[in-house]
Order: sequence, then C-alpha cells, then structure tokens
Amino acid sequence: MTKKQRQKTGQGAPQTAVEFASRMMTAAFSPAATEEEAKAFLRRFADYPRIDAIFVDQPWVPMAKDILDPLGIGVGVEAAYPVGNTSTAAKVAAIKAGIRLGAAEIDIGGHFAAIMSGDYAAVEVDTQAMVEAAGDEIRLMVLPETAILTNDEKLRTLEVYVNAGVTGIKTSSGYGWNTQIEDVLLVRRVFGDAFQIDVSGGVRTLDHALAYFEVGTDKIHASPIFQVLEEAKERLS
Amino acid sequence: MNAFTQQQISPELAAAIEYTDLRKDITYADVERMCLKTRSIGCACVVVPSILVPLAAQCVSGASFGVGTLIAYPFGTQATDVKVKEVRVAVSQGATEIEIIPHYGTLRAGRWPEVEAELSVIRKAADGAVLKLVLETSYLTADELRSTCAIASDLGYTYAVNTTGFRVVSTEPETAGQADPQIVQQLLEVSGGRLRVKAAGGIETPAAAQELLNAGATRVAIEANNRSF
Repeated sequence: MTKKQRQKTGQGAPQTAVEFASRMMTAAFSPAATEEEAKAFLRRFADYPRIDAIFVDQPWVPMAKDILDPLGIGVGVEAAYPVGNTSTAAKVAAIKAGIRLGAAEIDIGGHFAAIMSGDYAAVEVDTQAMVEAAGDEIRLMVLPETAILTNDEKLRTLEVYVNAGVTGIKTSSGYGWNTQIEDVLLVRRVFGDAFQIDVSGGVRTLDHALAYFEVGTDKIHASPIFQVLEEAKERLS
Repeated sequence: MNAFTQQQISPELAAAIEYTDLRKDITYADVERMCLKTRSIGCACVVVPSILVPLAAQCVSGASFGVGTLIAYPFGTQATDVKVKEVRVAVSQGATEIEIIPHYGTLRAGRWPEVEAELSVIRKAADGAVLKLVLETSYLTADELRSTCAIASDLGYTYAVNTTGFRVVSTEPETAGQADPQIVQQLLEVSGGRLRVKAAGGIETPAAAQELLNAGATRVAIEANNRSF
C-alpha cells in the first residue's frame, strides 16, 4: 500500500465569501430529483462563488461534469451511503468507478456492523481495501457516523482508519445522524492533523458553518446551500 | 406461542415473511438471532446488508429458507458495473434472493434501453438467484412503473417491491416508503400479474401483513426486531 500524502488540515474559519464557498459542498441525487431538476440545480452555481464539490449519482457524473467543470466545481460520488454495510468488493468497485468517471471525491460509509459488533479486525480489512483502491487518484472520505458511536467506539474506529492510511473522514452522513461539533473537537484533540474532517447534517446557517470551521473542520456539506452562500455574501467581505 | 413472538403466526403468513434487518447499527448477533427466529417460525428468507451475507449464509446452512440482500442500497445510485460486482459477490457468498435498486434518474428520464441493459446484466450476474426489482413507488408515475415492470418481467425477474423503506430525503424521515394494499394492487396491475409483489415498509402487525397478502402480495418484509412477529 502506498502511504498517502497528508493533506493540509484545520485551516480555521474562512475570511471571505469566496474562501467560504470554496470549502462548501452539496448534493443532487435521485430519486429525490429527476435528471432535469438536477441539471437545473447544478446550473444555478454559475451565479455563485465556486464551491468545492457537488455530489451526484454515479450515472450522472458525465452530465454533472459538463456543467461543473467549466465552473471549476468538483463532482463527488458516494457509495455505501449513508448506511455503510455494503460488501467491501462493491465499495472497491465504486471507488474504481469514481476514478474512471473522473470524480474528484468519493464518500463511503465504513463497515458499521463490524464497529457495532466490536469486530475491529473486519473494520481494518474493509478500510484497507478502500484506501488501496483510492490511492492518490480520488479524495476518499470514510464515514464512521460519529453521531451514533460512543467515544470509545469513535476512537477505536479512527485508530483503525489512521493505521489503514485513511486521510479524510466525514464524521456523519446527515440522514438523521447529524454531526456534533464536539466530534470535530474530539478528533482534532486526539488525532491532530491526521485527518481532513468534513461534516454533514444539520449545518443550515452561516453561523453553524463558521462555528464548525473555527474548530478545525475542513469542508462542510450543506443541503440549504444557496441560503448559506447568500448569507456568506451578505456578511463576509 | 413461539419463543420469539408474542402471538401465533399462521403457517401461511410465516411462509410469506422475509425477516429483514437493514439497520445501520445491525450487529452480528442480530443476524444470528434473526436466522434462529426464521428457522423456528418457518419464514421465506432473511434479508441482510450485503456485507453480512457470509454470516447469514453460515447461520442458515442446512435450513430450507434463503438469504436475501439488497444491491446498491438504499438509492441505487451506483454505476452498473458496481451493482454487478455486488451481485456476483453476494451470490458467490450464499445469497439466494437479490433485490436490485435501479437508477431512478435513468428510469425517470425514460431511457428504457439503459434501464433494460442494467437489469439484464444483473440478471446474468445473479446466476439463477431469485430477482426482485425495488421501485421507490412514491416517486414514480404509473407509466414509469408499468414500463419498468414490463422490462423486468420480460427479463425473468420474479418480484416487484414497493420501497426500500429508507428515507429518500435526508432531512425528512416521512419520505421513507410504506406498504399498503393499494400499492400492492397497483404493482400487480401494472405488471399485468407477471411479477409477484413483495410489500415492504412499516408493516408492524400480523394483521397488517395479512391484509397485504389478501391484497395480493406474495411476500412481506418484517423488521427482524419486531416483537409482534
């Protein structure tokens, strides 16, 4: 396994609306949206400062790249999201598909059933396979779903992740399992800059987002993205 | 009275039950317990996430019921080759019933040759396992259901399923699909009776399950930790 380059982490709160936008993400996915609705959603980003990435279904990546590449916005995909208990082989295949399609990032649920069963050896096997498949070709963010783990489970899981070469985590998925700010604090306190930390779920205003950035969050996934970007335009320089 | 249940389940109802646990926080012990329960009550199969198929297959070894799993759970957003890989591995590890979630974006855009191509390669990868097509029915029109069911039944799929039961919108728990007699009848109608129907989502009591069977469902998904069963 090639040891991955650690990426820069914990940049503090952004000072400008442009910098703020560059650390925000959102998603458009079916069945909640049709392809035409997704396209219309993606096109709206031409009117805003560039955000980091937008997540779409894998079959929509070419369509999304057509719209987002000229805007400098990355296309993200997910796998085993938000539940995580998908076979390792399918997760590996999803990572390879993400790379093949030209996605900038893939967010994948960790082996949650193994964490819940105390089988950290299985967590390690699953995680190593994902890290190896990703290499340096795609930003791999693994989701431990910290919102529903005990502190002990969080720390043991993240220890496995760091040893397996994971360089980025998304704390929670947002599907009723919302990130807690204390989880970002915990990870930074115990693991320093070992991980990039993205958060998802419950970040619905500029103040929420700034609070997360302040404590060392790298990027934030927000569903009400336009509302938050408008607020940033009004209040940041 | 069965050791696992609070009330008597008729053999007819039992044979239609798929004990299902797709919860994020499912444990290995949950799988072991649901397999024991299935063995003792005589249900159709257990349904588990794909990473737990090997454990479930080991637990049901020698018994007469099957092991089911869902592919690309819960939204079907993976590329076709990713779904195929998940199917192949699940079947090789002992899954006997495969529920496939199509790409709703392609389906809702009406690109039927693409929908058919995906369902076709999945059928081949399933290598004879029972195939069930999941349709998130609240988000699909009658015409979309009709066209998709026609493709699936032509390809030899056995079941249409009305929902995964997982919330579709992250912030809205109420977007999780529910079974009711009308959707069972609608799926039977749009498939011209060529697909059987598995009813899934929020089936809480034996009476509710029986009502779905009366409406024409062949299978019912019951949460494995439901104490009424």
